[in-house]
Amino acid sequence: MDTFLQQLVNGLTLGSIYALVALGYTMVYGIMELINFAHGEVVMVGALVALTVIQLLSGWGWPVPLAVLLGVLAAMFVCMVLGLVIERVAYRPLRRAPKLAPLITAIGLSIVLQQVAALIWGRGYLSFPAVLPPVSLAWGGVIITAIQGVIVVLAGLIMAGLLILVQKTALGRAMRATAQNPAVAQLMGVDTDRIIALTFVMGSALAAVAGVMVVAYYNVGNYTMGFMLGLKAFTAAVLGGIGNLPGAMLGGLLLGVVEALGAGYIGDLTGNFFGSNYKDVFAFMVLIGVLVFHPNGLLGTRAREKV
Amino acid sequence: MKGRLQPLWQGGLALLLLALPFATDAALGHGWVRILDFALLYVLLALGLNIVVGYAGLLDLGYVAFFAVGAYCYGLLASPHFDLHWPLWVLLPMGALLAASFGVLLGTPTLGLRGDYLAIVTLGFGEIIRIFLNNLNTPVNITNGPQGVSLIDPLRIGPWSLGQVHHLAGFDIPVVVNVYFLFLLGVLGAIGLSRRLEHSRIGRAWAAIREDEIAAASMGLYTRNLKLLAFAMGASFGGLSGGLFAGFQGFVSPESFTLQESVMILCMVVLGGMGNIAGVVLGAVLLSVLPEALRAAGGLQQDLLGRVWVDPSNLRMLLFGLALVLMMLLRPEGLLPARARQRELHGQ
Amino acid sequence: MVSEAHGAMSPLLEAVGISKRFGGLRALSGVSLRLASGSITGLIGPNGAGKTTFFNVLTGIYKPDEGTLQFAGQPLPAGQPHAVAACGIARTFQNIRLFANMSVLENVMVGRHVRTRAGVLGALFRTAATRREEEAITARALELLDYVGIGAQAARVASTLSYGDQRRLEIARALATDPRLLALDEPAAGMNATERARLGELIRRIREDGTAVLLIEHDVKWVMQLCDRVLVLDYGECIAEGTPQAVQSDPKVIEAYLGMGGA
Repeated sequence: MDTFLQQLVNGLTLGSIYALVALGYTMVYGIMELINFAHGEVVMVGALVALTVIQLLSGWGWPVPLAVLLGVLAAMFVCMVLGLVIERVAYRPLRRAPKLAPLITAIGLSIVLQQVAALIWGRGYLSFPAVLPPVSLAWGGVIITAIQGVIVVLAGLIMAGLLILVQKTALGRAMRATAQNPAVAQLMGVDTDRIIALTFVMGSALAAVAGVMVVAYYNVGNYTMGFMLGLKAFTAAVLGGIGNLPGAMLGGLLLGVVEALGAGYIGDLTGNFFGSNYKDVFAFMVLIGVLVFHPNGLLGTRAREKV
Repeated sequence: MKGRLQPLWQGGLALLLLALPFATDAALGHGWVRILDFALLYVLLALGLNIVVGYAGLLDLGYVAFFAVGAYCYGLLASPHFDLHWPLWVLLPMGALLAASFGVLLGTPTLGLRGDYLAIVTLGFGEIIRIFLNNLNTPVNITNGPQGVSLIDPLRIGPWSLGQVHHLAGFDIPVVVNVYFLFLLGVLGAIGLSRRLEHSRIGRAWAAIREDEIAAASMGLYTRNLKLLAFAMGASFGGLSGGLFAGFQGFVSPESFTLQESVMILCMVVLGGMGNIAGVVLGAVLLSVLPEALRAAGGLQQDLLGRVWVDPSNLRMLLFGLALVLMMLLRPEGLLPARARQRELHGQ
Repeated sequence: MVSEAHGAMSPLLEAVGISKRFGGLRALSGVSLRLASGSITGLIGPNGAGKTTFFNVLTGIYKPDEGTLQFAGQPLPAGQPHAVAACGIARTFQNIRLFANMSVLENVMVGRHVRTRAGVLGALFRTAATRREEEAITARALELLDYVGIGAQAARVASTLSYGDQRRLEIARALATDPRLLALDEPAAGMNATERARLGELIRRIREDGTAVLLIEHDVKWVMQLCDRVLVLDYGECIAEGTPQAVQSDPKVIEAYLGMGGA
């Protein structure tokens, strides 16, 4: 039972991060029906930028909380600019092109981002300085570390803020209108180009935060870290129903839990034939399962193709 | 047949292809013939992916998985690992068939999906295959894990081993040249098959699906099965070249089958011109020979700048990524486009 | 609604109580239709009445939520367009859906797919049977292009045809599947009076050659001239069915059209 609860806590932490990244996929998809393949790379860039800033500032003897805060802000800034550039360079010129074209530019961009990151930060692993005191809350046999607590709470706050933004503000209304029907939204005076760019920027800001959370949680970062994370977050978005914001959150949390429990129990379940090194397989199994049996996801409704 | 070369050109091309390995060997040495051999393997892979992407319009980002299946099929059944030494004429078709079955296995649940979902699922599939290859060494050692399978039997046709130097009419024919001719045979076969498929009832159906899936279905095309067929055909080319790769290399390990390889093969197809055989061949040759030139660039940096600033393998991937983006923005139909693609992308 | 004389014969197509919802919107509610071999039936109604939705249900693009479809005495496979085509129903689309970058001839050749069988092995070894079949496909496709009157355009790229010729090509492609029922979604849209008259002739000829026709059209006068029977849809419901004369004088029909400000 303790293992179960412990894995549940770990899963929720991981799931909060997936959810933040999944939101980026789902927002872009909702508004332009495009899978932004480069999104995982944005997370990676955010993580590495934050790492660098934090290492630098704490090296100068700045107080750790301030260094972390500035690191996160720097990561968000870089990622927002990156998101804007990605949209401008790789997607906007191809809005009317066949579907295959933006997919291919996205793959190309994600390779470019990885390689540029490898040039800047090298191929090794960068370690995250201990920013939070290694305090933890032991509750029965379950241990909740401070960093886990911070990740879950912060992710929850950000997601709540995002929902309020989309549901209650004029900007949110314009975004929803653009997602429904860009042509009509434009006629109604919505600057859809701006809305699309903003969507990328917001998704990228979330990605930056998620990136910092990942390195803070695992204590290391690397230029390849965005790939699997992106794949899993995409899975989470599909699981929840792509294009649906609460869906992405739910999907992220669920996937995190499934993965943690799976990794915890797969050895027992298969008589140690499969070990926890297969944990990356779960996300994929979930993805195929959802796509086959319930392609609209848990909360999603997808518009059918016009005939 | 339209698009077939004049006899004179055909003869010239045949002569060139015959003389190429000898000339290369004489001028540049074994190393460069080896590069040619690999280029031919890539051509085979690119032709296979072209069936999936170019003909049927399905984006497969995990194509290297089929290459891996063929390679491990050969490696495991013709090496001391299980102490099995099956012959080439069993293993190559078997690898192709096995890869095709994997294609069907992956495609059956997923090909009803829209294209971008398929791209992600195939990408995941490629990674999963690699994870399995990496970890299926415990508790039962099937793949030998990250160490891979070594001491694989060299390619051998009947009594004639391609793994040793032969003497013919006073000439030495080195291993890399033997292999060149076997691979060339494979490539020519693949080109013939691709051409016939393209201009058949099936090829027409693929083109129709690529153009308008709903209209195609309404005309009675069972789109799911036709896509599955494209997937399986493409995969079989991958499996075949995997077998050839294993026999040539004598060693296979999971790190040969990364996403980067899948992307590189996709690059070849896109850069050369999706759907056009000549374009795909050109793309594959260019992109497999070019990195070798870039490897030389490492030495050049050393000489000019005093140190290696940009790691050549890094540079290679960076250029591939840039090439994908720039090609899609500037010349999406590729260097040698298929006619239909050109129309699709540029109006009339 | 269906007259006795009509009901006595076993119909080619019989739709009973077809309903289709999209979210909260009822696009079709309980639409029934009987259609005899060798007839031309018109499906009319104001915009948004559910005509195209009915076509999409009929041809397997949508699955009906309720109701059954029988074609030539057999239940029609629901939600499987390829199987519907194999049963002998072919269609055209309101917003023309050709294989735009393929040649005119190739478009029609694709239509032969469902009536031919050459597979991968045949293609790879180019067997005698495959070659013969391929020749037959080409010959039949050319014949059909002549039949609809665009034989001279066979080598052109489909998207370069004039609008009217594109509509004809869609009909040729549909006919290539050897249908027993041809479903035309607004075949005369965007055509002038002369073109309409010629299209009318073509449709009559198709009927005479043994294929029943079901068509959606907005031009009521044209439909009334052409069709044996007319079905009127409004808000997803069938409000009238019968001969053109009977339908034309039906007060519900007049109201539906006048209520829409004329059509």
